[in-house]
Amino acid sequence: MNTLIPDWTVCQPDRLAALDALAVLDTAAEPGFDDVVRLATRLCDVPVALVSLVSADRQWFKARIGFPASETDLDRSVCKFALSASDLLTIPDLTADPRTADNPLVTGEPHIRFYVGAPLRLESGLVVGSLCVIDTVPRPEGLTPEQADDLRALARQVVAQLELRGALRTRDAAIAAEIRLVGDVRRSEARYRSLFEKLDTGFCVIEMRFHDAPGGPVAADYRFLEVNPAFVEQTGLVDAAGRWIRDLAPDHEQHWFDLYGHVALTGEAVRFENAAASLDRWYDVQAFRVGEPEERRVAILFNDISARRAAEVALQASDSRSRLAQEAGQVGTFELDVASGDIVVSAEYCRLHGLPVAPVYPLAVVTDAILTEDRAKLSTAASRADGSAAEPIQYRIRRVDDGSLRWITRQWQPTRDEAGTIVRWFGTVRDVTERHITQETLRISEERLSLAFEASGSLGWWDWDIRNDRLYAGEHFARMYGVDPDLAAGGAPLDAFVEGIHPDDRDWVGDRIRQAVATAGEFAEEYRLLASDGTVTWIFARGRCYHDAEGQPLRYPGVATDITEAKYADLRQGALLRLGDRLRDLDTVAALVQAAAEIMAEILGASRAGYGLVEPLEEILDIPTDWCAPGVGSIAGRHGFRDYGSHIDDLKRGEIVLIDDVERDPRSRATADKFLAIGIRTLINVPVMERARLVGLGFVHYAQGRNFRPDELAFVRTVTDRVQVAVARVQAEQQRVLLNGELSHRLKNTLAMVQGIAGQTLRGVPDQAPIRAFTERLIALSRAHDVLMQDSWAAAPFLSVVEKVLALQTSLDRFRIKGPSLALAPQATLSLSLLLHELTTNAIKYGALSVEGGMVHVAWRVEEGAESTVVLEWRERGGPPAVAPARRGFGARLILTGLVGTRDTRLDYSDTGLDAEFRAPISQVVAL
Amino acid sequence: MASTERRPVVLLIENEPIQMMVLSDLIEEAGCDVVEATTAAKAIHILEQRTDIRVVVADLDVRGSVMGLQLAAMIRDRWPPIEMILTGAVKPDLSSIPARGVFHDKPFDQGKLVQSIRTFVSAEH
Repeated sequence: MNTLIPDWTVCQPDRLAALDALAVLDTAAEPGFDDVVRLATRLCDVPVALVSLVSADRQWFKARIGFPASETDLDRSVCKFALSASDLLTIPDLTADPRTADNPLVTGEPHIRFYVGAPLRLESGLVVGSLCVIDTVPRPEGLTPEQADDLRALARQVVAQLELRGALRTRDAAIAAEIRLVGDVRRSEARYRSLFEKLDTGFCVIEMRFHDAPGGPVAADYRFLEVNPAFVEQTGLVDAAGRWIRDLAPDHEQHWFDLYGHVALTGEAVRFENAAASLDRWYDVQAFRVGEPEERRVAILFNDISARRAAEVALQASDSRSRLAQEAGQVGTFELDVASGDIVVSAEYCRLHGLPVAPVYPLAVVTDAILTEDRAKLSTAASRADGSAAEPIQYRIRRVDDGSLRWITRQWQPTRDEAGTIVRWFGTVRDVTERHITQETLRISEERLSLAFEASGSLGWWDWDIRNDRLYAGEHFARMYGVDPDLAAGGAPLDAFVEGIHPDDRDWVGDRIRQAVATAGEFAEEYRLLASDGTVTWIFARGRCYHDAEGQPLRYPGVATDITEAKYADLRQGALLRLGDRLRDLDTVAALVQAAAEIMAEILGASRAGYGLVEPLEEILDIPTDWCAPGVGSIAGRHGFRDYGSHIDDLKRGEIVLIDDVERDPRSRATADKFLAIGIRTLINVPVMERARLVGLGFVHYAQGRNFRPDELAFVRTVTDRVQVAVARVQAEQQRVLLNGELSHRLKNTLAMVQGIAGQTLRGVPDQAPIRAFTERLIALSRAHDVLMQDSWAAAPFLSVVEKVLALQTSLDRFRIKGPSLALAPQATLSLSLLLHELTTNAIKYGALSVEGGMVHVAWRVEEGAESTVVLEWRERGGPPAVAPARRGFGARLILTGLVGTRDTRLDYSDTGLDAEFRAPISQVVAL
Repeated sequence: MASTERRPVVLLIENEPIQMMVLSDLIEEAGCDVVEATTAAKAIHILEQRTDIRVVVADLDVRGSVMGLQLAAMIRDRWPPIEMILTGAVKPDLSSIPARGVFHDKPFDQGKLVQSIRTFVSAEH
């Protein structure tokens, strides 16, 4: 017999439930049923008749005649085959039928041979067993038609009796229901208790204590009623249950008490992120009131997010510079005349609001753009008149031209006339949308989470009965996995849930489940679910398999949380950090946008991404190279925009183009075939503008249709804004390098001309020494420019300047050079060059460098002080004794002038050689 | 050292008159005769006509149909024995200067420039 495989008919849940509802199994014999089997044996002329009820694992006889056992396992059951029979099941010779030939009751005692079973079909149509007659000899002719009719009639009697029993039982329904309810509560409590223990989110229930104050009760302290194991891990507070937080953490900030007090008093659930300095951690906290209001109990779910906070801070630091740069160009100014209500505005102000540039607008036109729900923040005629409107405010507008939502901050100040009456308000507006995107994303996810929480307790739970392959699950869990919640409540096969797992994750998750089942182990994995509409959800599921005493898998309960937001937020944050790094390192527009497109493709799971240059006149997109997912073809090459619809018009206005489905979007509908032919159903195009002209395009393609969540769009916009800033930086940098190169070229040519003119003019002068000195100084100056050029005129390394100038006149071997690395300001570079040149000239003529073996020590240092000072030392050794010059020539005066003209110069002409020291304030020497 | 009756000939390529004067003087100071060309085209024409030019002094900033370093590379290619001294405002990538070429950036140290010319002409005689 092949009954090792569970029979679907036998195990059909509705049928088993109906059998359960009859509550007849294992009850005492009843005359009504005994009479029926006695009649059956007589009418059919057989030795054996049974009222057989088939449950999931056995058949049990409510009444029997001629059969010793009161029940058998399903291997011995013939009645189970009657369950699916529409009428009588007749087997004339059990040894001849493949279903029963191997049945132990056939092959051994009591050697049954003939079987007829009448299905016991309830009013609901479900079959719970059979009324059967059995003989020990085969009966090829079966029952007579009369006997068959009688058997059917008797089966109907059995059903009537069974249902009658049920009806009688409803008398006790109230009591039974109550008993069951108590059982349910106990079961569900046990279930939640096990969740509570296994949850890796910190969880506690607290009881608030208040003291009375004039303004109402003030939260004074709270006591932990219950804490879970994760609570200890996340807070470091051991044995907290039953104790007051003021005792455990005396420095705990008052804001925690206020928040929980608020929840306890109002019943309003809150979610927030906050620091607990006394514990040195950041927490993401959800708190809600539990129990009766007067109990003042609050349940708190929380996670330690210190690591994530640190990452956010790093991100802000990396990004604040570009954001400031972007915002700097977006300040509009205005002046509001109190009497007329007219507002005089700058061009930038108009641009920020998407208004046509005009000098004056009525106030109402400007306030129209502000979202209705933010208008309450605005000043009123009264607050403008008495000056109480002076506070800076933030509000949202819909830009008049493109309807885009922007955040604006406004600051202003009143101007009063002689009488002290306010006549005008002068102020600035600034676009701070970028700053709000992350906060906005956070708010959306909060709403989503709190909804989920209210609906289902935010956690999905399951409990898998392995032996019967029944996975019982809560509504939240069922919905996440795309299983009908009603079905899941009654238990559904594991496969129904596995279907909901993302195909890419299904195999390995299946392996992990099997592993946990085999080893009675723990399961804790993050994986993706794929809904039928293509939505991907990230899940963190944690469970454990339990074996029975014989080591057989028994149950496998667990919990799952939706971590999509956190997962994507993490991925996006990581991606933005990486993007920041790459944008800093790249120096061509094409490489920048390519990098951005790849990062978008990675985060948004695209099939293709890349960058193209736009030739605006011909409306041609030239794609040098693109990134393609495995199996996706490249579209590198030239493409005519108009062949692909009209979205170029939006791009030319600098707008991001998002087409969910090329067959549905009006811009692409007519040319959808073109898109589909190159594997594009959904696309994002991000324009790159240069002086309001479309010059490039980042693109992300999807072969399948895809919906974007608001946070994903916010991500696309953030990436785009950063690329724009980076592109502007690269363009400015290229411009600067070009200008510097040209400037340096001209400067040095001019110096060469000056040198030439001087040489020609003074050709006839007999003493050529001064002309040579002049030429040399000119060259020293020119070298200083060279060094400056290397760092684009911003700063020059101290050491490079020293070496370059000293090497002009003699070998560097003659010098000992030492000093910290300092970046010289341009002015200081020129000054230092000329100074060193004069010192070297003198050393060669009269000092240490005039003899073999003489050396010069050149050293510089920074002396800390109220104002730090740069000190340059020049010490000649191994030459003749130094003598102060008799005549004060240009060279000597240059030396006395010192570093950057401070005249803080000390010259010591000693027998060992010249010792010179030059000092200047660091602020004048070092580049900022 | 060069013989007294016949001085080595140096071709000077420079389009800036004042620089031309200065460089001519320096070349003569080094003991050579100067042939002047104000454009690259004229310089090539001269090189094609004359066989006695030993050294070329060329300003890389000279504009013409063939620019700076390209001209230098072409001379090295077509007239391999000719030595080259190059000047310019911005120092070019050293690897792009033809073999044996010497570069002096503007404004130049006149003594060193004269020394370079002398080194080349004396090495050949």
